[in-house]
Amino acid sequence: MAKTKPDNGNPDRLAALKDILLKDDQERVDALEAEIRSLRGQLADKQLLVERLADILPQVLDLNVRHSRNEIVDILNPIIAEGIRQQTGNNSDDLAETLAPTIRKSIEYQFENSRDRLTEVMAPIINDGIKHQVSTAKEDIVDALYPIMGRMVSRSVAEAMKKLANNINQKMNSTFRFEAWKRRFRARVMGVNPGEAVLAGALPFEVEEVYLISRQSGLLIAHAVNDLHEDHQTDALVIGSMLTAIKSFVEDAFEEGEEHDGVLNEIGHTKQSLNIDTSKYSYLAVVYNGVPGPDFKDKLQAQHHQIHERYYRQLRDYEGDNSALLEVEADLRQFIKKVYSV
Amino acid sequence: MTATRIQKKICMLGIFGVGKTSMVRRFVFEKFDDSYLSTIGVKVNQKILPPQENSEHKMIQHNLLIWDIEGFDDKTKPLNNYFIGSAGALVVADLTRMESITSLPTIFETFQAVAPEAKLVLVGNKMDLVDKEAPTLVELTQFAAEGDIAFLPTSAKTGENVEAAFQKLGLLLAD
Repeated sequence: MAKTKPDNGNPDRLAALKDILLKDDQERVDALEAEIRSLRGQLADKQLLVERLADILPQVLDLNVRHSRNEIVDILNPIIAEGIRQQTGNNSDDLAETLAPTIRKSIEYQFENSRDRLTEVMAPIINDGIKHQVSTAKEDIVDALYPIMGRMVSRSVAEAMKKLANNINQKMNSTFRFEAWKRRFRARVMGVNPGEAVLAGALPFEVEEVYLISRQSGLLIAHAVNDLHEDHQTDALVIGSMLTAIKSFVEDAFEEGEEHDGVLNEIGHTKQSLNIDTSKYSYLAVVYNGVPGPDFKDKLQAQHHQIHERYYRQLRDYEGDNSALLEVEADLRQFIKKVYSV
Repeated sequence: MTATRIQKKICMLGIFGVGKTSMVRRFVFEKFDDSYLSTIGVKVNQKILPPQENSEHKMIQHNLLIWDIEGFDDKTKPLNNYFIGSAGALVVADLTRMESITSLPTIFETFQAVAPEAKLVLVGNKMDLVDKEAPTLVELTQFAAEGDIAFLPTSAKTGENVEAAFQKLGLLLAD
């Protein structure tokens, strides 16, 4: 078979041949060119580009954060810091407004989930803050607390007065009952006004113990306990001496200059109180709880005076022998009844 | 014969660390703790002695109120008020410390200025730590003899002579 000789001199035929041979490739090139034009068009349309990127950026970022977290942090840190600095300097109000809800939510979250830890961290700061405020702005603190404290105190006083009024009412309402009649009778026997007796009955007050103690040695001359506390065991002798020691200590500590005549009259304790009447040779100490009547101290003084008058010589010469003073105990018992049992 | 019970206030005297409180602790059941000693400088305990016959053949039972008073030293002295009304005192020296003996004249002088009539017994405590020829024991015995003061060596640690010292004071108080 004879070979066909290529005809290089005919361009039409070459083009036709190209069309035949490269038809598929040409179509692909055309399609690609069309696609490139379309993409250029899309790149030129910024809005469209943003929309497209927005779809995939989260995935890209997520992938990057997972694989190159540290590098990203290193890159972003200075940018964020600079941004915050700028915002703080130029637009601090806006920044505060923007961050406020986040910070609030964060604090709420901490309160709910790490309350103990938060308390531990905040306590010293708050403590220092309060100390600082108290030392630098005492008056302001007083002004701030006054309404609250005032209300608390007045509420407490009102409550106590209400209780007192109720007690008095109850006692007054029972006027015709046997108890009330008995109280009035006893008040008359003791020489006390019945109204005073009702008030005394309403106020919580009782004498627990009475000690008559030698002023010089602190030795216990006589001791009486309220019948209601008969089972109350006290080491009266030692207490009498310790009381004398404490009395001496206080009187010496508060002595002023050449004055040596100051005496300790009262000692207060959480529940109990102690009232002391001092004379030349002895002192009479009364342990009580509650609120004594207005003439309580007068009664105490009168009782002591009476003992002194009756046993003057024995008290003056007292050297630890109580046999000549045994009857004083009965006087002290009577005194407890007189100031309490009305 | 029924004994007459009489209360007496006595004081424990001596410089710091001679063993006053240890002697009291040996002798009585304590009601108050030692914090009183460091705050107001005194702590009171009570001890009832067995009945004793005095020189007039009268039976006396003493109820001692023992004022354990803080020690004397160069800077501090107990309150003189604590000595007022004392019927007696047990003056304690430490047989291992000579300064506890050299301080005795000051202690006696201070106490007797307030309670001149008080009966006194001198004790040399910590006898378990020294021998019989110890210079402190010799010195103290001589001091007691010169001052005509009743003297006993004692040991609060072993209890030796502690009860005897208080009873000796009780006898002096009874007369």
